[in-house]
Amino acid sequence: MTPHLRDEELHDLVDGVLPEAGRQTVDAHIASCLECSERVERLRRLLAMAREAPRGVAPPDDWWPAIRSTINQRKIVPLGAVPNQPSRPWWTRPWALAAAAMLLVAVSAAVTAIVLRPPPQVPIARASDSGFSVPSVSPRLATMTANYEGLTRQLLIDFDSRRAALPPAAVAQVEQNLRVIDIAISEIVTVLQAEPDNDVLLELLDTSYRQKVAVLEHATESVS
Amino acid sequence: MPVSARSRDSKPEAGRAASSTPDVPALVARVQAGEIEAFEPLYRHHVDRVYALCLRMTGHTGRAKELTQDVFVRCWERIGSFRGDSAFGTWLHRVAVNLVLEQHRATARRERRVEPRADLENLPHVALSGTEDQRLDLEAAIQTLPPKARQVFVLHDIEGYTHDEIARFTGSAPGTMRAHLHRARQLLMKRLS
Repeated sequence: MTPHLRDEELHDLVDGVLPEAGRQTVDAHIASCLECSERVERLRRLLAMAREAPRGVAPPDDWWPAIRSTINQRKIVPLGAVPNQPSRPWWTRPWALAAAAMLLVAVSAAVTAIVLRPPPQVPIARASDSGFSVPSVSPRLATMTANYEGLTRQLLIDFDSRRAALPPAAVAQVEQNLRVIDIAISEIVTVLQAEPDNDVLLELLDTSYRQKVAVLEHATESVS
Repeated sequence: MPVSARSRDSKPEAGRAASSTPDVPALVARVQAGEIEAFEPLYRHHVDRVYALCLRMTGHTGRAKELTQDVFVRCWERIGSFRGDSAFGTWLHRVAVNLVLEQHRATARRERRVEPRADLENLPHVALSGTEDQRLDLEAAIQTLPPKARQVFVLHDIEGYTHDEIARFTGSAPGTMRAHLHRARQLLMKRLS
């Protein structure tokens, strides 16, 4: 009798990818070996069970309110498309710039509102106070910046390496979006230096970074 | 490959989602225009399938809950990149797979912790009786698999992705991916025998 089936042969046989050259030998062995024919049957039963596993599992709770709340709180701007023009290249669609521009408008409005609001009542400085404030960076800001900077740096490297494969118009669109988003990030960081724990600004910064990541991922994925 | 792309375009089959079939393309167009009200029926239509994927891929209900919510937030963020080249459900499923794997890589990098899972070889064998028992045993056994083996088994043998697709998702060489798949099947057969 020929040797028992190797595991790889067993799986390839059941997956239907066993090379034709070895197929006859394997079939002949299975026909004469009870042990191997049972292995084949067991694997087929397992795969049949896997195929019949339910595709959906109902969640134990309704999570829609939480999802909606997250979207609203983060003021996430969807990168919406123009439904009637599905065949146009993505970089020619107005949403690509519009989303970044909407982000900048939202950021500018929030920053302006924060800068122009009446100053809070502060106690009169004591003689021992230094007389000037040093810009501070909150741990949350530092962590967020560190997390995203590493990721965006890598994505920019990927984008640069694939730049030649993209049409010039697409590259220009991506760069224009990145410039708009970078302006937004710069505005937020400037104000955050004075108000390092401002939750609204931190959320806006998070959103801005996520948009930047999305733009870069979209650009690199489109040529990968 | 017989299981490739078996039924990824099929609609969710469990729970509420099967009770009505919304006009998905119309809803997608409204969501792309920024209408969050149109996103809720899309969520309800697809959540069962996304949750099942997250649950099986992580083997942890808490993480599956967080990931499911994150998947829909990311879907909202990136729906503009959906061009209708495939069914929306297929695109959403890919978003979910990518997010689960991304989170797994990030967690693994940060913590390098040992997953609190039972060693499969040490689990007692359970006598099978009836289809439902077998299904529950399979689900339980999947959760005891090592993370990579579990992910590849779920993606290939349950979700129907091809070897090449999974290799692209995971960034693994196809040979490595097949090795994980074979190991997963061997462990499951041993568990369910």
